[in-house]
Amino acid sequence: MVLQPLVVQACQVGATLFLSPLLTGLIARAEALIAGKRGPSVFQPYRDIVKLLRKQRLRPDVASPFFLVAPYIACGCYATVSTLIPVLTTYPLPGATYGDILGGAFVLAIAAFVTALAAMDAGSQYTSIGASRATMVGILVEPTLIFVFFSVAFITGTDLPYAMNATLRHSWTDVVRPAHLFATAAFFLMLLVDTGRIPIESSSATIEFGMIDDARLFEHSGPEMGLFKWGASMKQFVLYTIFCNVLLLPPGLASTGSVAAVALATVLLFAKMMLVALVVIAIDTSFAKLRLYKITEYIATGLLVAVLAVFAWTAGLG
Amino acid sequence: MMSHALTFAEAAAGSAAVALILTQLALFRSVVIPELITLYAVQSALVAAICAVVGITGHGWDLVVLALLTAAFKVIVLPAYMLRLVRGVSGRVELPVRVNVTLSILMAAALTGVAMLTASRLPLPAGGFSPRADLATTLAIVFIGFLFAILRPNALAQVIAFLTLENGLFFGTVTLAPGLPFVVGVLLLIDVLIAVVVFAVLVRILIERRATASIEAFSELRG
Repeated sequence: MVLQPLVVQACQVGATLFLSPLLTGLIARAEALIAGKRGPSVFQPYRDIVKLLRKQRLRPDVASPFFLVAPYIACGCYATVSTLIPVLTTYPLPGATYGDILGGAFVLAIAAFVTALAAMDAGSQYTSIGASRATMVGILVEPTLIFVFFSVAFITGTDLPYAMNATLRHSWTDVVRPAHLFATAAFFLMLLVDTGRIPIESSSATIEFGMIDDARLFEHSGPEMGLFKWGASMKQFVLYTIFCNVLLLPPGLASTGSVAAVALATVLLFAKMMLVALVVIAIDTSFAKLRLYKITEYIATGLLVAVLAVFAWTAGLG
Repeated sequence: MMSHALTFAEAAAGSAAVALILTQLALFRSVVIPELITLYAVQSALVAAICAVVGITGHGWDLVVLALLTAAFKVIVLPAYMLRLVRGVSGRVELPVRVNVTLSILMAAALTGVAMLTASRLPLPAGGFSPRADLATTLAIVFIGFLFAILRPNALAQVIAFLTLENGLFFGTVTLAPGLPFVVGVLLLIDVLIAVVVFAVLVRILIERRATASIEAFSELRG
């Protein structure tokens, strides 16, 4: 049975919506196993989200209705990005060319913006600190990401994610060109920032002073908190997808709309993501968290690695 | 330039080159000696791997032997010995930092740019980009190694700077002139051994007399 492109696009969004907690669960499980623990079930994130979604809706007295709307916008943004990137198929699906990879980055920025706005709306110092920290980090990360995308666009001659994937898929040697590898390394450094992993933030659900992303959500509870948690999973899923399918491991996508091909692509996507996750977990277990004011150094390093990509390219070293 | 399809050895050398430069940049991140030694071991492993790949893909088995020697020597024996040496120093050795991390990495990146531009201008024989990329990497690692030695006034850090520098030269030798005689490769290894022995003696003397490995202590010897 061959699925219509629109249905496949729905599958892509569906995968981002409903399989992203599974990725979070798998990573948490793998992390626990590597640390010598049994760890929670891979379905724990689903249970957490469902539990939170069933709870009562609460809003601080000082907060405006926007406080409750923000998580819905944020989740909508993450789901929208998944229509622009090759999650499951090699060929562009309806709506895929409405935005290039920078368009995707801007949609992600909207999500960060509304989350920060809701955090400040809550009127608590802690959430405001979280919002200002997250915004500071975001301001530093964004130029690096733009630089990475521009350098990859420079190398592949396009900034449409599907076309990037196609270029890299057709000649695997393009993936290992020094310029592309530098850009990929820079994106990986930013991936750790954006998914809140160790050199920047500890991913375990502890409450501490150095929190960045999670500090924004202290005032949220119930369904909205559940949505933010879900959104964090979706963001991780989307960024891992970009890293695997657009930058490092382009093969393994469905080239037709047949059910078997799409299902296989989903399984392969998870396999690729888990490969990346293993590296992330290795870093998580072997490095210490950076002090807050050292984060700028880390991000500056990422930017310089991206600059090296352009150097390597313009110097004609591939 | 883009139409040239890479062979496996070229692709491996290119990826290793990127990883080498990144490990070299990572040196600046550390202010603790054991981390530097671990980084050196990782870098040596990369160099050994690329040596083995070049050997297996058609330049003779002596390179594979050399790779094995490199792996045994520079990945296991030397780092283990140096880690033990450092443990002898009382507690944690923290490196003095002359310039902050961001600025030093910026300088290193600028030097890498210089290395890349130099390599792209040199009149190398035509044929793919690989020799240029390998030469650029070699130069970049040598430059960054020197920069690191300058910015970290500590004898142990300077040993490691010297050793990474040698890693870069070894990478260049293997990728640019894979047909080199086996003896030359082994000589390079022995070169490292002598350097390490000399520095180990120096470090021991420093530790005994001053209980520190900082070269700032030498300032009074100026004439």
